[in-house]
Amino acid sequence: MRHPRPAASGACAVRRGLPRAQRSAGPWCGCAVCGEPCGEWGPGPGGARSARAASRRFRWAPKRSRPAPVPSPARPPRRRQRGGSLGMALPRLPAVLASASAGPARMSLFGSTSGFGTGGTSMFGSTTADNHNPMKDIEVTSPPDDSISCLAFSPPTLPGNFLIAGSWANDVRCWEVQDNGQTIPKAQQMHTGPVLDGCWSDDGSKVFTASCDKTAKMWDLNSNQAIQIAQHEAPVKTIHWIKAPNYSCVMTGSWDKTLKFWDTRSPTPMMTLQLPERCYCADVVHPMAAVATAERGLIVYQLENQPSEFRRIESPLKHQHRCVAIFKDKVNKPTGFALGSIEGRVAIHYINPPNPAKDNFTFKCHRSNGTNTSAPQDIYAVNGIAFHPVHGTLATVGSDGRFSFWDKDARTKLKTSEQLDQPISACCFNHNGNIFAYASSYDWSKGHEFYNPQKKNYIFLRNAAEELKPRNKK
Amino acid sequence: MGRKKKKQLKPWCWYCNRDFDDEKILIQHQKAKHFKCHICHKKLYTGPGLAIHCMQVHKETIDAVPNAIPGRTDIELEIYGMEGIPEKDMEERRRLLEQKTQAESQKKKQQDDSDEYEDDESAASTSFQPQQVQPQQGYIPPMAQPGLPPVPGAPGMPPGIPPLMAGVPPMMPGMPPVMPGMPPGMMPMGGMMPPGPGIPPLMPGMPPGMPPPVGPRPGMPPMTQAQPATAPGILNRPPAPAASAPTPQPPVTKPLFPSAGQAAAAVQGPVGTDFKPLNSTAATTTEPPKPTFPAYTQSTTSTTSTTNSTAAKPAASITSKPATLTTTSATSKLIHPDEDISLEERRAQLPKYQRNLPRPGQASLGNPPVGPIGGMMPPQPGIPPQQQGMRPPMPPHGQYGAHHQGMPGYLPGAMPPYGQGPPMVPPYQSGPPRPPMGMRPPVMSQGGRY
Repeated sequence: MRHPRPAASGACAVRRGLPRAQRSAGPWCGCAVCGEPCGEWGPGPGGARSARAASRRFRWAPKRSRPAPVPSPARPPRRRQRGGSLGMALPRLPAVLASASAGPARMSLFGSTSGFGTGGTSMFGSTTADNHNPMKDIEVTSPPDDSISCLAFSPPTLPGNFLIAGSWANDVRCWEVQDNGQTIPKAQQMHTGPVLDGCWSDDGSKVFTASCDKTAKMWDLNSNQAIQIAQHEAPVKTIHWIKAPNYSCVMTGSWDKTLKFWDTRSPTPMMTLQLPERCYCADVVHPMAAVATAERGLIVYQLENQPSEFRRIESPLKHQHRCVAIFKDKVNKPTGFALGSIEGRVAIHYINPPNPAKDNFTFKCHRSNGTNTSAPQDIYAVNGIAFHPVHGTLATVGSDGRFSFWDKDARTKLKTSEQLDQPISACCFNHNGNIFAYASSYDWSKGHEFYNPQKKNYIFLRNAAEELKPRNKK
Repeated sequence: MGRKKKKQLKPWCWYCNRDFDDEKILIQHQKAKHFKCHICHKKLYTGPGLAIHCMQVHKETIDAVPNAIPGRTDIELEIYGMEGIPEKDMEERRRLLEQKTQAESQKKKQQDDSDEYEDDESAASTSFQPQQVQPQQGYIPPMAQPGLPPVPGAPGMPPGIPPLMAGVPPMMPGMPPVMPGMPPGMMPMGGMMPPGPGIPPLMPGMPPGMPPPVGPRPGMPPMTQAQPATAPGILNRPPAPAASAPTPQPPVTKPLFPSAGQAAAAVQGPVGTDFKPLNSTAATTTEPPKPTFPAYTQSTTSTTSTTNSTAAKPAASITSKPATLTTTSATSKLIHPDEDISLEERRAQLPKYQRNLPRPGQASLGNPPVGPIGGMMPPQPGIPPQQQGMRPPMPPHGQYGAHHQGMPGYLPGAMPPYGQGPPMVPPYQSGPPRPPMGMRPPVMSQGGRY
């Protein structure tokens, strides 16, 4: 193949028209098109000569053996999902939610058409392209019909494990998770707007839900009734139950820039605190509460006696806050929090560390490794952070469809999952840390265009007893 | 440097906008980063060269130059070192450089100052809290005197300052926050503390007045530029010290975000040990000595530098709404919609999710929130309170148009706009809910089955 006469500018010193004296300074690349050294070391015109050189070179090129095209990774044969044991050994729940645990009957309760969701097997034949559960975790039956916004497990006061999930389909659903991994839908409640957050009371008898309809409700599981307990002027984004020695209340954070505390028996809040901006996420571990707002606001509250603002903290992150989770020290006192942003980064921040510059740090996560390819690195938002109740290690889930486990004391990553085909929007641990639940559903990170209402949403359960053990410090 | 005319001073890489000292280094960089085959790692000389190589040898097409910033990925353009760069990009670069040098010299001085006293703050505060307070308090008494003995003593003070001292006492409440920061930064300036308190009141008139004072004293400009920055922060301060309660440390100003009143507010309250100024945060994140996080590679430097610039933008654009994020850089791209609102806010704006919300006109802003009706009156289903006009969350379907005002919105049990009645265990309510229940079915069926 003859290459056309190369352009005037180019790598070759000759073709660049450099005077003889300067030619020796530059490389000799006879042909800008091929980019290969022309092999001509003497001065001479470019053009024809280099074209000939190119054709000469062309014959060489095939000689240099190149590795075969990279073989596509072999796909593991598709296995039927096992309902593996989740490592639990707790007694069954005697009363409240034990009623009517027949599977099929309850599935119609939710009214969804996910009949094939039972047992977590995917019966559709498309084996190679189906990446909805690459980690082969247990699928929860009858998942919600729209994106899942929050997950929460029941407290230890309830025997057994119950999981609630709030979704953008305006509902909050409750399942019983049995030791053998089977999930049984139990009940559901509706709001008039998408549910953004949910939590349990400390005795496990009530579930509180916060919704875009500007209200929060208390769902009494014994009677299966839900009543409204809170009212805001904008969607309620966070809801937490506070159990202090001298009071109990529900804390709601809303996009109306207020944090309100409600005694569930009264229609007016016990206390209202102003936030600098819209509340984006919050966490409560008595006696500490951490609230992150828009515009990178970050406030810590102390809840003893009565809730009061403890400190406003300069954000350790430079991007929008998305999720926050409080961690405890060795004696089970809350001592700091992990804050996740939309920029694939989590900050570990202690409230009163001995050496803040050294103890507080941030780490990057949920990024595609684009360093050695021609594409820029993709940075995904961190959608949720959860701390293992026993080990103190943490899990993060991101828009990239992966979850990762980290040890913040050893500052290492313990594990990263395979990539799911949808973002992971929420996660939580059960009360003893044996189960890690994560929800696979679209979080709007790529905007409206990538929303596919037909795509199924999933909640997966994983045995978390082993994988989250801390690494020994070096 | 030999020749002055050096293609815009320093050679820079057209693909990724980086600066280099020498053209040779630039060429090496280009070969290693942009003209390197990703399959066999062979280093070519030019972009088209790389394309041809990949085509011939690996039978692969390549359409973008690796590691190039978006907009500069053209594989057809033959760029070698500084040659081949299109003229308009050269112009842009020249302009950018000029802007940068201006902005840099201003900002740099500012940031140097802030770095100084912030570092002092955090270093001192961690271990020596009581001691730190005292030296700062030591500065205050002299300042409290309207006479300000140091003022006449300060060399070359602009004559305008003493008259401004009258404005100092009103600023006094704001002083403590300024003082701790000022002294360390100001001391190197030759003890020019007085300008600090004097300048904030001068602020409105400052910019026009600046050039004259700036002229005589080269040492002043950095100060004066720091002052305007702190002034808005100071003006917000007076409420803060009163509000901030328990710690002995006075709150510290953050001159980094002069226009961010809200950011300043966010720093209210004792910030001592958790004080994490942006710059030093960036520094700490790029120097991970121990953190053995695998995610911590040297490539953080480029990302953190971009994030620094993005940080400045959100702060400055707080007033615009919604602010946009800077989502791309040479090596990374944020997978997030551009506006700086949360994903949930964005999604909640869609009509699809707003259909069932209570009508805005009936927002119970003033009304007492619909309380726990069921809880309050077990015997009665809670209809009476609702008939008082507590409508809120019920009128379910705007689409149906009917504001079922009188309807007891609280069917505790389920708010089933979608005809979903499963746990519709009518608890203790037998009578009253029935009629509305009777009204429901037509509505519900329209909503469709779940």
